[in-house]
Amino acid sequence: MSRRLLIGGAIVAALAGAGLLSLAWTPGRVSGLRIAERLKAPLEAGMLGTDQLGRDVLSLLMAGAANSLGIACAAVATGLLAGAAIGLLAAARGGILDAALMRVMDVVFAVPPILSAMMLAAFLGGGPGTATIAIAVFTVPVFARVARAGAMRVLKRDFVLAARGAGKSSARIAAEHVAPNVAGDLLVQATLQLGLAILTEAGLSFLGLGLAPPAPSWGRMLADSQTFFLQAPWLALAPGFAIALAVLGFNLLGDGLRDRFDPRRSP
Amino acid sequence: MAALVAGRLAGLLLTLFLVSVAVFAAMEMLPGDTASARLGTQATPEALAALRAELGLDRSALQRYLGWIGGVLTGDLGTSFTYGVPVAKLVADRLAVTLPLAGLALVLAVMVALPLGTLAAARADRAPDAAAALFAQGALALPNFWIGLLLILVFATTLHWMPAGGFPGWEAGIGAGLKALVMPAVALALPQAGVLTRVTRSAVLDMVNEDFVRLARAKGLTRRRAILRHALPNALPTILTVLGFQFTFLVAGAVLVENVFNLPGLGSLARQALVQRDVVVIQDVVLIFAALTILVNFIVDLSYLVLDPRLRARR
Amino acid sequence: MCGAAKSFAAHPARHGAGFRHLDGDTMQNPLTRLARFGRATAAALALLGVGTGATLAEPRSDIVVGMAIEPAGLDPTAAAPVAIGQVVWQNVFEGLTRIDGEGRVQPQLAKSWTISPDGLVYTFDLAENVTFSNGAPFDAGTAKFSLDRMRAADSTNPQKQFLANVVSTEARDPRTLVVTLSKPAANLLFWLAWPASVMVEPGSAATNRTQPVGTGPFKLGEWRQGDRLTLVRNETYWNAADAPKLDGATFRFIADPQAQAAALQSGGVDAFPEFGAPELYAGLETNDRFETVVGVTELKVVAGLNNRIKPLDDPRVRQALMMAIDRASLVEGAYSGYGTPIGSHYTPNDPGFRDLTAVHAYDPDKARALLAQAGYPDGFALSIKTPQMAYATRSAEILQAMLAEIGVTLTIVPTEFPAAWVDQVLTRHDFEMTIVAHAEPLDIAIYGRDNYYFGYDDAEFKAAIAAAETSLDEEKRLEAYGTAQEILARDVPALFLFVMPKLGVWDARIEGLWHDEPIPANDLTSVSWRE
Repeated sequence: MSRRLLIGGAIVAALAGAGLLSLAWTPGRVSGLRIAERLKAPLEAGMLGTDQLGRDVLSLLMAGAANSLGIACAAVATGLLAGAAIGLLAAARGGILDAALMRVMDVVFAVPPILSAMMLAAFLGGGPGTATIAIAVFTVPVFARVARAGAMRVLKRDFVLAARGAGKSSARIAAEHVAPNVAGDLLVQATLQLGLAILTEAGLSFLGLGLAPPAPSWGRMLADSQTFFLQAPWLALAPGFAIALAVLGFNLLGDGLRDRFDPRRSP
Repeated sequence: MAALVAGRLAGLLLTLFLVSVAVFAAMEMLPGDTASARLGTQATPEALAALRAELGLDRSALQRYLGWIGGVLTGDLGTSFTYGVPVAKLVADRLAVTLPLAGLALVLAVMVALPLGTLAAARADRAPDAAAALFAQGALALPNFWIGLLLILVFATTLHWMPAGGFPGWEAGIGAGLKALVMPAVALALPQAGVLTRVTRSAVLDMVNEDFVRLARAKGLTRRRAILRHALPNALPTILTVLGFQFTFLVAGAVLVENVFNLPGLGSLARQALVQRDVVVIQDVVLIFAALTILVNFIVDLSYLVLDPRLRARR
Repeated sequence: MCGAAKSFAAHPARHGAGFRHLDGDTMQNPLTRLARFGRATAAALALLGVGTGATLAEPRSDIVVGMAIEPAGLDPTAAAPVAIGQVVWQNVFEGLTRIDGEGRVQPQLAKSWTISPDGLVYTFDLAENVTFSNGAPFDAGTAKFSLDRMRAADSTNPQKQFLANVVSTEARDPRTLVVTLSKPAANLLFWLAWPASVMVEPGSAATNRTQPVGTGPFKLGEWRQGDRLTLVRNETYWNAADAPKLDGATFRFIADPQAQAAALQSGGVDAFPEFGAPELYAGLETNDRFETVVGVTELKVVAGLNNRIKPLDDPRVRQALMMAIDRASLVEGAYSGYGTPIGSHYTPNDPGFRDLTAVHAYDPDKARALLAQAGYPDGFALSIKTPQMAYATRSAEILQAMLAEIGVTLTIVPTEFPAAWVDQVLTRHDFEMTIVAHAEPLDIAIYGRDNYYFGYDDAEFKAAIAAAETSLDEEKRLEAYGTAQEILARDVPALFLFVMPKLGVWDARIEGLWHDEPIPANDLTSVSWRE
C-alpha cells in the first residue's frame, strides 16, 4: 500500500470520523445564540474560539464536516450512478443512442460548472438537496465518459465476444464482465471528484447558494466570517484549513488508488 | 481529413444549438422574472402586467426564443433588461477585465509549473520531486477565493502594498490595471499551477521513456540536456492541451475571485444578471462560455491529429 | 460620454489613490510589524509611477461615493429599486417638491403653491428659466406631461398609486400648474418629492434609463456598468442660489463589505453613506481619518407573517411570536448593536412616530402562556423564506434561536430576492413567514393594501390610514398615523424588528452629506471639501 493511499485514507477517515461523532456529541454548542459569548478567541472559549453568534468553532467544524462531506459524497454518488449508467448504456447499445447520450453529455460539459450550479440553485431554491444536485450535475458527464471509454475497451476483448457468442444477454455481459472492469477507473475518478465537490460546495456556500442556516457547512462558515476577518481571523482560517485538508485527503486517496489500479498513468 | 473536420464542426454547432435551447428552457423555469426583480416589494399584479407588456415578456416562449437566437445568428446579442444597453457592449467591457485576468493567471501558472514540473521529472523520486508534489497537492487543495481573502488581508489591509480590490479601468494606465489584477491572478493561478505541475511532470517523464530520448542519452547527452532538448519540447503539446482546457475553466472559475476582489468581470456580470433575471445576458454569457469550451475542445482534437509527438517521433 | 473622459482626465490623481499610504491606520494586527518593514517597498512602488495620491493643496472638487448596490437603470419613474434614486434623485432629477435631510418637504421646481380650502385643488407656481440638461425648457406643460405619464393607464411607474386621487392636471399658463383631486391627499406634496415623481421631458423620457436627462445640478458623465458611474456638473443649472460646490462625482459599486472597508482605507472611495458591515464599522469609527455618523434610515426590517393561514391567523399566536423576540439582542447579534428596535411599521424619521416596542416586549414566559392559550402548548413548526442578503440571513438565524425557546421550530428557506421572493411571497402568497427590509418612507399604508402579502385585513386600520391620508389638519393627520401604528403594534401582522442604521462613513474633510436618510438618497448638492 502506497504512502499516498495511507495518508489520504487517514485524513479522510479522521474527518469522516469527526463528522460522524458530531451527530452524537460535540465539545461545545453548535446552535442557539449567546451574545455574551460571541467572538471569543481560541482557547479563551473552546479550543478554536467562538463565532459571531457565540457558537463553538471546533464543534461547528465537526458538524460542518458531516454536512460538507455528506453533500460531497451524495453528489458524487449521484453523479457516479447516473454517469456510469449513461456511459455503459451508450457503450453497450452504440449507434444513435450512443451519439444522442454523449451529445447531451457534451452539452452539460460545455456549461461551466459554477454557472450551471448558480442557475440550478436559483431554480431549486434553498434546501439540502440543492447543493447536492447542483454539484452532481456536472460530475455526470465526467463519469459517463470514463464509463463509456472503459466499457468500449472491455467490449472488444475476447472474453466478452465469447460470452456474446455463448448467447448471454447484453445486461448480463454488462453486469458480469464490463462493470467489474470499469469499476477501478470509476472509483479513482470518484475520489478525485470528491475533492472538487468539496471545493464547489464551499464556493456555492460562499456565494450564498449552499446549505441553509443553521446547518453548518465549511463554505458558509467561510462566507459568514469574511467580514470578521480582522476582528476574529480564526473564524476564516479554521474552515479554510478544513476544506484544504479534506480536498488534500481525497486527492491523495485518488492518486494512491490510481497507482494501484493503473500504475502506468500515475503522475 | 477535410470530411472529418467538417463532421466535427457540424457536431460542434449541434451542441451549441442544444446549449442554447437548454439555457433558454432553464431561464423559463426560474421563479420570477425581470419584471418582478425590477418592482420588488412594489410589484402589484397590474404593475407586473404593464411592465411585462412593455418588455415583450408577454410573447410566447417560442417567439422569444426565436427572437433571441435569430439575433445571435445575425450578430446581435440583444439588449440587457437591467441596463437597457446592448449586451455586446456589456460583455466586451467585462471581457476586458476577465480575459487579461485569466491570461495573467495562466502566465503565472505556467511560469511556476513548467520549471517545477520539469525539475520534478528530472529528479524523479528525489527531494525536488517530493517538494513539487507537496506544492502541487497544497495548491490544488486551497479554495481560490480563500487564497484571495488571505492575500487581501496580508498585502492590502495590513501591508498596503496592493490595492484591495476594484478595477481602475485600463484608461488609468496599463500599470494600474495590471496592478489591480495581480492578486486576483495569483489566487486564480495557484490551483492551476498545481494541476500544471503534475501534468508537466508526467508528460516529461513519459517522454523520458520514449526511444528517441533514450537514444539521445545513449549518444552521450546528460540527463538534464536530454530532458531540456528533447523530452520537454516533445511534452509541450500535451501541456498545451491541458492549458487550453484550463483557460476556459479559468475564465469561468473567475466568478468567485472576481467576487472577492470586486472586479467587474464576466463572472460577476453573470451572477448579477441571474439575480436580476436579466435573461438575455445570462443566455448570451452561457452561450459564449459554451462556445469557448467547445471551440477549445475542437482545436485540441485537431492539434492531436496534427501535432502528436509520438507520431512525429516514430516517423 | 466625452464629458466623462474629461472628468477622468481632470483628476488623474484619483486613480492611483489605491496605493496611497495611510497615516491614520489604527488597526491593531499581528502583522503590523511586517507592515513597517513593507512601507519602504510601498514607497518604492509608488515612485514607479501609476500616480500616488499626493496631498492636494487645494480642496478637492470631486468625490467618490461608494454604494453597495448598483442601480438597475437610471430612471426612477420606471423601476422601484432605491439604488436608482440614490444616484440620480436631486443630483440629476428634481421634482416639484423635494425632501431635505431632516425629512421636511421643501419647494423645488414648484416655488410655492396654494391649496383650496376643501383640499382638492393644488395650484403650483413654478420656477422660471429652468432647462433640462439637454436644453429643453421646463414649464407647466412639462410638469403636466410628467404627472400624466406617471398616472396613465399603461404607466409602469412603481408609485403610480400616489396619483390615484388625481382627476385632472392643467397647465393654466407656462408658470402655473393646477392639479385637481377627487378627495384630499394629505401626503401629496410629500409624494411629489419622491424619486418616482421627478420631472421629465417628452423628448428624453423614453431613454432616461440609460441617458437620464433632468433639471438637476449634475448630469450623467459615463456609466461603466458593474463598476462605476460618473456625474459631471450641469453648467446650465437653473438654481444659482443652490448650485453644487463639486465639479463632479463618481459612484462606485462595491457589494462586498470587506472590499468596501478596503476601498475606504486605501482612499479609493471617499465616502460610504451606507456602509455594509456593522462588524467592520467599529474599526472605522476609531480611525481619525474618517468621520462616522450613525443615522436612521427608512429601512424597516420586518418578519412578515402570512395572516391567512393557521396558526398565524390567530392574533394571540402572532403576539406570542413577537414576545419571544428580544429585539435588543437581535440588533446586537445581527447588526453589532447598531439599529433601532421598532414596535410598529414606522421609523423615528416619520412624522408622528410613537415608540411601541413596549406593547409586546420580550417576555418568553408570557409568550409560552399565550401560545398554550391559543391551543399550542407544545409550539409548532414554521418556515421563514429568507432573502440571501446578510442582514436577513443573520436575523433569521437569531429568530430561529429565540423562537426555539418558546417551542416554535423555525426552518430557514433561502429565497432569492427579489425575483423568487416576489414570485412566491408577494404574488402567490406561498409562505408562512418571511423577512424583508421595507425601504419606502412612510409606507405604513401597505398593511391596508388589498391582498398585499401579509394578508392582513382590518377595517379599523384602513379607517385610520384613510383618515391620515385625507385629513387637512396636521394634528389630526398625525393622530391618525399614531392610531394606525398602535393597531399594528397590537395585532402584529408582521414581527416588527428594527430600523436599519445608516452607517455613514466618509473622509473627515467632507461636509454636507446627509446624516439620516428620511428618503433613500445621496443628495450631493451641498457637499464640499474643507480646506
